[in-house]
Amino acid sequence: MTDVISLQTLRKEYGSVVAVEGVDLEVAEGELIVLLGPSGCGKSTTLRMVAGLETITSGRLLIGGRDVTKLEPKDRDIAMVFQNYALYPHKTIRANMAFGLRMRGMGAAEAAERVASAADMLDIAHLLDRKPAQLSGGQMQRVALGRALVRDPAVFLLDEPLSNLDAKLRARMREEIALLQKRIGKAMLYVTHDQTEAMTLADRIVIMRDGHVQQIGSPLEVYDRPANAFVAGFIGSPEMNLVPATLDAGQLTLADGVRLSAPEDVGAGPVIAGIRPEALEPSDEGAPFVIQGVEQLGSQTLFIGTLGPHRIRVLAGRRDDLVAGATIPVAAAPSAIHLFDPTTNQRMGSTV
Amino acid sequence: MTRWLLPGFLFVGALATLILIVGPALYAISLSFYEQQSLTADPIWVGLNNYATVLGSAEFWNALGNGFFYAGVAILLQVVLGIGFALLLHQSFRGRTLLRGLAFLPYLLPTVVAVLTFKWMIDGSLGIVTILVDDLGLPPIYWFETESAAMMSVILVSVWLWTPFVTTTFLAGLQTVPVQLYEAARVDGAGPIRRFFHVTLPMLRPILTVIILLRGVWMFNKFDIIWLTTGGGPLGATEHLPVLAYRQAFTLFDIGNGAATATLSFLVLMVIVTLYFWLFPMDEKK
Repeated sequence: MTDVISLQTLRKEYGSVVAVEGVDLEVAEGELIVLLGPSGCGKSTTLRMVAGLETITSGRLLIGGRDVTKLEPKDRDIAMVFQNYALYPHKTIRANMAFGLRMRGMGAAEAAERVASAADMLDIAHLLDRKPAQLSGGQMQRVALGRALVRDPAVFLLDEPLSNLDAKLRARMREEIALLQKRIGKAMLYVTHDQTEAMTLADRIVIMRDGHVQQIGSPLEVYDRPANAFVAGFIGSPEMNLVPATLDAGQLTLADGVRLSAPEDVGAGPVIAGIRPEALEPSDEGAPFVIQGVEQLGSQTLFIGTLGPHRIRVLAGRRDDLVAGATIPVAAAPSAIHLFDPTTNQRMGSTV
Repeated sequence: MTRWLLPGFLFVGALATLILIVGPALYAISLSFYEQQSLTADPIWVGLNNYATVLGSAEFWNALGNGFFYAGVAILLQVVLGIGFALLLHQSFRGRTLLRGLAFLPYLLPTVVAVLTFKWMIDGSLGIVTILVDDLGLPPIYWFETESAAMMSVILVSVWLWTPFVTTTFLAGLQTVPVQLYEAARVDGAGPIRRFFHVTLPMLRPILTVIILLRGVWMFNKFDIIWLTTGGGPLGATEHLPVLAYRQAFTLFDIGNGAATATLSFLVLMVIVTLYFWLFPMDEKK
């Protein structure tokens, strides 16, 4: 399969500040790539370089096999959905959606036809004669998607498209975007700081931090085998417990008398142990976990407490019998423990 | 205490408005129904006679036409140039803040100072412009001596003085337009000119509506600049209604006709402003 987008050591500097440090990425036809990371990590800048809204300091960008590194946004065969929708407030929804087509010289009749079919697809046909101010946030989001959709570009670029919506609407729009993207089968680059969005939407996730790509992989790959402690902490909810420990002969010592069984093939010495809250379970024997807080989630119970000096979280099946102040033994399967080098923060060993 | 604060302030405001604005205005309007040969003479009731005289005189219609021409051309130039400068000053470049400050300077000058400076610059024997024109081997320019040149010169000084108002207001407005709209337009394929007409201008329409209204009223009523440069001449070529009213009342001491002219000027302006509000409503429905 040919790559629709190819980012080759894409780099962005603002004066002496490096915002994006050489991103390499190949995106295949129909693939949904999520750029994920905390604010300031360079994900939006990367997207904007692909869009042509930021100049590329160095590196090359190919879209559809064509070098577009220096082209204007309009010549790149892309369409973009902005965080604040960026609808033209004085134009009707119809005119908003048709604007990009008309600017490219498409006739009124053909543009109207395209707008109508995109509006049907997004269920906004009844809104076409309104102005943006008369729409709700969710409706504006649909219009912004529609405006990109009518253009039928090679690549869709979405910059935190759901971050202005409330939680319920966000979940629904997320599903719709996923379905829409599968239906139209076009490549999509999607920027978010929300790891749930990334996990649920992405074919592959690109995790970034401080301008560097940390890991590229499918949602389950990055969940199961985080490349470093940062990715481990960023992916998964509730967050993975990361505690300093000493490894020796398959025993992980978190503190005096606080031990867990660990993978054996890594060697010995100081490590950072990463254990997901859902990997820890109350068991007959294990490390003593002192419960300090209990959060009932319905089907599950989240315990907040300490293992020795370390504050950790344990996500168990529903338990009504344990209250704050109790101490229970907890254990994790050795294969579920991730080990990271304490100096480089990189993953150690081959744990699956 | 606080219960009386708001009514109290409102009362003071209302009183000041009555004494300083409504009272004199009503007095001026009442004067237009009397014949009075000086400010101290006894007024004689003449009904609408003054209006008949004024409306029947060629100089009223000449002044009305001049007023429209002067205000219209001056506003047009101020708005077009003002927007142009605002767009330039909105770009980022070194020394932008300084230039923004400089661009506002003319607006701070009292009209008298600006007019005197201009008159010196074009002085027939000493003016720097006169000398430059002469050095370039061009024929001398008669700035205020011919009828069409006088009008153009008055407009020129007005535009120089008050374009900064448009520039500053428009520049402030430009900074409120969300950057994402321009980016969306770029992605949509709109070049700089289309971005101006499809994003900037519609977004700043409310500001522009107010600018044109304010500048229009001010230019139509502008007295000092014409009085100081041409005094309405030559041969009434730059005489508009405020100057005519002043000349009638305080040069010819025909208070009644002067008041009638002023009242008619006020009525004309009212009609225009009402029409303007009707054509360009301020609280446009979204």
